Amino acid sequence: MRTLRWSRELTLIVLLACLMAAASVLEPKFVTVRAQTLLATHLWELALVAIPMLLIVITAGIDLSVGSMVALSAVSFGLMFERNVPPVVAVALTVVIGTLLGGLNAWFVTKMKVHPLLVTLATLAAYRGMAEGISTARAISGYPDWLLSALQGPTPVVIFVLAALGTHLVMTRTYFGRWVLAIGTEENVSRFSRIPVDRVKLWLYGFSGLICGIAAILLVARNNTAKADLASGLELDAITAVVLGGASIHGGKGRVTGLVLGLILIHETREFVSWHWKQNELNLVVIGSLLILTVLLENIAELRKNRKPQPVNPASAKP
Amino acid sequence: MATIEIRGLTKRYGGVLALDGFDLDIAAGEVHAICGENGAGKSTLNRILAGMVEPTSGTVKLDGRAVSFGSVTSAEAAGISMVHQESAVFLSMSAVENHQLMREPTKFGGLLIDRAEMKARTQAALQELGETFDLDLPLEQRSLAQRQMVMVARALATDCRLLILDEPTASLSSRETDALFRSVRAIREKGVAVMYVSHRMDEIFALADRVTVLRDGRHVVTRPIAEVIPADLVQAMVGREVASPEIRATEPGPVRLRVTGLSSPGKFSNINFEVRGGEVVALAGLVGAGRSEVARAIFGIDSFEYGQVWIGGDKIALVPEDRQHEGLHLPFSLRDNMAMAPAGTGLIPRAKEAETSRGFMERLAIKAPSDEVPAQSLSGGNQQKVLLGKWLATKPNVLILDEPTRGVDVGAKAQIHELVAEIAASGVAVLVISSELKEVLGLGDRILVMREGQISGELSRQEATQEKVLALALPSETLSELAPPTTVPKKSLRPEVGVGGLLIATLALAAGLNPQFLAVGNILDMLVKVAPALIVGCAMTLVILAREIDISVGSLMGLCAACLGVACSTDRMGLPVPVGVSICLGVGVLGGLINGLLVTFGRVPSIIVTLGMLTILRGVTERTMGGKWIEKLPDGLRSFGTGNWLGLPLSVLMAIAFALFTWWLAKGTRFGVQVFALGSNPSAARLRGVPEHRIKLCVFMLTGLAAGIAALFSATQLQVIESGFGSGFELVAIASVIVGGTSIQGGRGTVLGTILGAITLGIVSTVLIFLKLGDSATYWERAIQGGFILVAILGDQIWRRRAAR
Amino acid sequence: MKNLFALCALAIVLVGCSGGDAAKSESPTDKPGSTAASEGKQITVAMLPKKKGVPYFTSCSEGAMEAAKELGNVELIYDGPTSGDAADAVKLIDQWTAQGVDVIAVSPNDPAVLGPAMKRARDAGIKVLTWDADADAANREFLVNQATPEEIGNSLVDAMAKDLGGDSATGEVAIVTASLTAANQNEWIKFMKVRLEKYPGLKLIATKPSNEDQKLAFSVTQDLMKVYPNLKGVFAISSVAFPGAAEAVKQAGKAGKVLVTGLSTPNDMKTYVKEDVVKSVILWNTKDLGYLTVFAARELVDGKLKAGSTTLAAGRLGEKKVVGDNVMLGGTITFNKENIDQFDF
Repeated sequence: MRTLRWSRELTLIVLLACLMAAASVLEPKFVTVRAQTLLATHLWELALVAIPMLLIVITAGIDLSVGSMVALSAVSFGLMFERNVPPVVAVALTVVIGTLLGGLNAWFVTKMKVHPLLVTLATLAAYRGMAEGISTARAISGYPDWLLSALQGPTPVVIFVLAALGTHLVMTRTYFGRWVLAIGTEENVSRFSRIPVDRVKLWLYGFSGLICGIAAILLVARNNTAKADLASGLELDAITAVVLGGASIHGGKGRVTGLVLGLILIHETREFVSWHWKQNELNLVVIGSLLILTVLLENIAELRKNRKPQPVNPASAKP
Repeated sequence: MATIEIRGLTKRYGGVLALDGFDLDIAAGEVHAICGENGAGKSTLNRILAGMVEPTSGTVKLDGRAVSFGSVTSAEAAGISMVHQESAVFLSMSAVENHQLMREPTKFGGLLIDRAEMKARTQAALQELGETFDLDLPLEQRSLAQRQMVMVARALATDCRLLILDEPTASLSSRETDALFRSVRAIREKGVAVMYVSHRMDEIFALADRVTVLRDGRHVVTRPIAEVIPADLVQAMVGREVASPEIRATEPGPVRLRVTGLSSPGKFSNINFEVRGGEVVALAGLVGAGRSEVARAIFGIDSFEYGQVWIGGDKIALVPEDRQHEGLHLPFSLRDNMAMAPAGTGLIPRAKEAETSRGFMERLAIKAPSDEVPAQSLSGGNQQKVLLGKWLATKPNVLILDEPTRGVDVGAKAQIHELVAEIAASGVAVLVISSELKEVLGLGDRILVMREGQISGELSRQEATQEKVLALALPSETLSELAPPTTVPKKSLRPEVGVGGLLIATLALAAGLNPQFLAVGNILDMLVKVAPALIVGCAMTLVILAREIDISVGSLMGLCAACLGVACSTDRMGLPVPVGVSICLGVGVLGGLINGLLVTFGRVPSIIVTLGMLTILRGVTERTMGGKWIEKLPDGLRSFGTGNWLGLPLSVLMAIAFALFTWWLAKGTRFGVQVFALGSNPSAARLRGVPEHRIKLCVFMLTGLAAGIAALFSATQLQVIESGFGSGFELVAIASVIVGGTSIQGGRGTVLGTILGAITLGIVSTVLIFLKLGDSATYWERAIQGGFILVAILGDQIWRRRAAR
Repeated sequence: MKNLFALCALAIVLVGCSGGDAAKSESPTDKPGSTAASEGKQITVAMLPKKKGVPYFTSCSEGAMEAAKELGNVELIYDGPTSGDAADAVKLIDQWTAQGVDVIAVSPNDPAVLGPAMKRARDAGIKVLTWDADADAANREFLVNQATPEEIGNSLVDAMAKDLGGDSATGEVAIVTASLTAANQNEWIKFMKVRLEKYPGLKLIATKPSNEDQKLAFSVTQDLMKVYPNLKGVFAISSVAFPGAAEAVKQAGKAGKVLVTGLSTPNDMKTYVKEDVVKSVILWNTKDLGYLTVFAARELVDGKLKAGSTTLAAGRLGEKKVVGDNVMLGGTITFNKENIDQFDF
């Protein structure tokens, strides 16, 4: 039995427990299943998109274009729908389009060897612009009820749980997961270990696009609208969740469990702050501070631990 | 008379004594060799003397005065300087900057660093070592040896009393080694004490006056060199006698590896050889002869232009030279490392892997508490064994070993040699690359020698002698300049070329379609428009050069503008303009200071800090404004945004001034060189005593100040300050910097590039209006702008690749 | 092991969360259905602006607060997305639904996106009003109507035409909008284009977005004036774009030659009106709009405002007309040099 080590997951759980305890005293209605179910409906697109973001951040990359990929996929879905493409086909094609958009990012990253931050900064603008262009910035509405209801309620939850669970297993049990961590730790060593570095990255950025395609459909269903300004700023939320979940922005570190807790903490904090204080702008301050303080406090804790004089055993000093 | 007296020096890491009551005297004008196995405490001793770590107890006296251990700079000031084993160089910086960092001469009362004088000093120092090469190219375009020589020159250049050389010849050719030896002897004549740390017996005996052996952190023996023979030293180092490797000849099997006509321009040409199963072929030659490059091409990491590689059974393994950057994932456990060379896809067979790793720990005699400890906790020799195990686990038919015993102590070396023989005996074709003649002669059934990218000869085991191998390895005319084929010095492309071309093309297009575009009025309007991006972009360049990023500038600009407005507006507090301006700039600097403090002392990565600040400051701005926009700015304040001087808008003048200021900071000051150094190689910069915290605080505060200035000149251009002022501006600033050719990984880039980048991106929207594309095109504007950034980045990349060929 | 522990702890937190379910009985679905019974009772009204922190909506909220204070039995929540993002507005509506407020008054920044959330609120038994802008009539009970998009579009075009010389006005005009995706403004632009057909002399040459950025509105207007020398008028139809466009005209020295018109609170534009850069500013009385909305909410809960009502008693505003499901505030006001000093909001 190994001793329990302090991890980001524990920090997050403690914070979450404190938050919920405070909430149950201050706002009993907040801590009900009914309220939580209703509030949770807005979480899933962000939660989905954060999963591939986690993997990409672990490889020391970044994908700033997720919000724009969602918007472009969503608008494509709307346009196909408008042109009477059968819904099932439209759904499938949208996912394909999302994957292709991610694939283009991957092509720039792996074949042209451009830093992912640069690539996705450019596609952040380009994809959003294309979404505006092809839709002429219109809102495309009017989807059949059966489609909307099929894509709401438990559907996003199921998709997220499957994606998170699947990713967790891939990261802990498979070669692919090990490769992702290895690439983030030291890419050159990974190349020398015959790890197919470029192929892994291709998969990850493609996966990011694919998930964005799925998130786009869910978002359209929830809003009953496809529009070019959907999901703006999603990338920053996703990165915040990933970092809060304990992933290192320098790569090589990060877990799905941490991400899930980070997502829940952000969500609950945001909802509680605006529920209790009814000041939308306060949210901005609280989420930003939460992000910085979590990392800062852990750094301080680590520093103090390292400063503590280690017990010295003179017998073991001379082997 | 002893120059340096070390008494009772002890260093404890946790429960381990790395150095235990060590005593040593080194006299002035003496070369004192230090040897010992890896882990014997040599590095610890070096690091203490060089000021990198503090000892637990003990004293060091230099010329009778006690030395205090604070930092590398204080050690250097006291007269102790060190050439580090792993070349702590700044690859993206020139030889001159590498040589002169932290001691740059200045002129005009310290206003400008004197680049001409810097170059002269470097040139003189290198000439003393017999080196002449283009000093203005970045070091990444020089050979390993030349990099090392720059570092040696740097250490020699200081007025030092004690010079520490830690394996200085590891990457030097014999000619360069000779030059180094000459210099060391020359400074010995000047009365400097030299501490020479090396594994190489021949060097110790050629150079040293006395030798000291360390074992397990303790002093074993100190003797004049004339009184010892190599075997004595080896015995003292390991504490037992070591048998020299004896390899029995094995019967070679079928051909496993066949290389025909392999060529890669600039690296090697027309390489032909075969290796049979059960055979060990040694590949000898000088550093830079192209041996590692051939190995990488055979393995498939590098591509090659012509020729063929045939591998029997298709299972090849390469044990690379550089364990840290090529060999092992150091933070990973031994087990994971040994399972890393992929054996399959799908699920990981954990039980099998554990079994394999335990098997190899036993077979290779790896000394570690368990196979779950991280590889970085092991000594070099054990790491090398893990690396060997990693590739043996793939059951290769062909095994290439690149310098398998570099940085490995004597005991482990012998074990590795035995292993190599054992592996070959099992039918594997083995190719060993080594710079050590003894190893080449001892291991190889056949010996191939490379010179300047070509195979210059082949020797059988029987006919091979040290002299014959050397004769083949050295350039045909021994006196001719040895130009290592790996480095093709080429004038590198300036980073601004790509964006500059794009800007000219854009201007030409717009002016061609509508000559009005180049009207003075329009140019001034466009300059006013790009002024804030220019100001913030220039400051951001320094942040990115220092390997940080600041994505909170847009929000900070918003807050600065809000504070300015609230202070000055006659509707609000109505304070005098100078007070408002100070508040505005003060808020900017304060915001930058907070970012800087969190990054430096809080050790939070800058992208996280500024991502947090991005939202926090936006929230604070909303609160400051109180739900209303700011109206009624006093005329005095408006003149910042709308005023002119000599026909030029004030904001443009300010942008020019600020750009000049940052350009001066980056290129003309010690501060600038230090920023580049920090971004180029942070750990080396710290080692050189670059004040990391101070510099990072400064660049963040500068960016904050830039945000304040940009807000002051840009917000006052309009009559109303709205709450969303500045949002999204961080993307404009960062895009300007990277489109301008500055590397997001720090250390390379220019302010000029950023200026061009900001202008190029800033005029796109104006160009689009001048093109009169009509309404439907309006919807594509953003896509065109995004595509523009993409084209800029892509064009730059393609251009750069072409140039690199 | 560690992860397992983490998940267990999470489960505990979540179970603890459902443990608080006892409070469920207070949830609004179980509230007595009769509206008359709640007459005079303390109620909570949640008011959602399109974007929080802009003067237009801040002055609306001032009117609303005044009404809440006057009534004494209304607790007013005024909150909205500072980003103006419709997705954030949806979150707030859902939150108020979960809190069980009595009335949600929505100024939808994107009616299509907000529709489903408004429907959820109604399904939970909450009264939903729209104010300032309308949404699908099925998702709300009444609209507090100050001006329809058609009226707004017409007033803008008519004001421009009048300032440029009446029915026979000639010249090129351009529109500077907040962003290409701004739903309300696209609605207005649609009606403006229809109305412009009435004035054959006016030619719309460009519609340019300013991405909610005053500086961009400024430079876009600058560029438009250079590229189209015959430009006579600019419609700056967002309150962010309006001062930017006016400033561009002023700095180009074209005050009086190029006219700017648009929607804005009078305080933001007073200077420009006095300097003749802007002749007409279109708006309505925003304070009264907020004031009327709160009264409508109160009456709706009290059952006094119901289908078939023709009037509404709105405090200091007196009797206001109700037409169908619209509570009428009464038209747009055109602010000009003569009357602008009489308004302070």
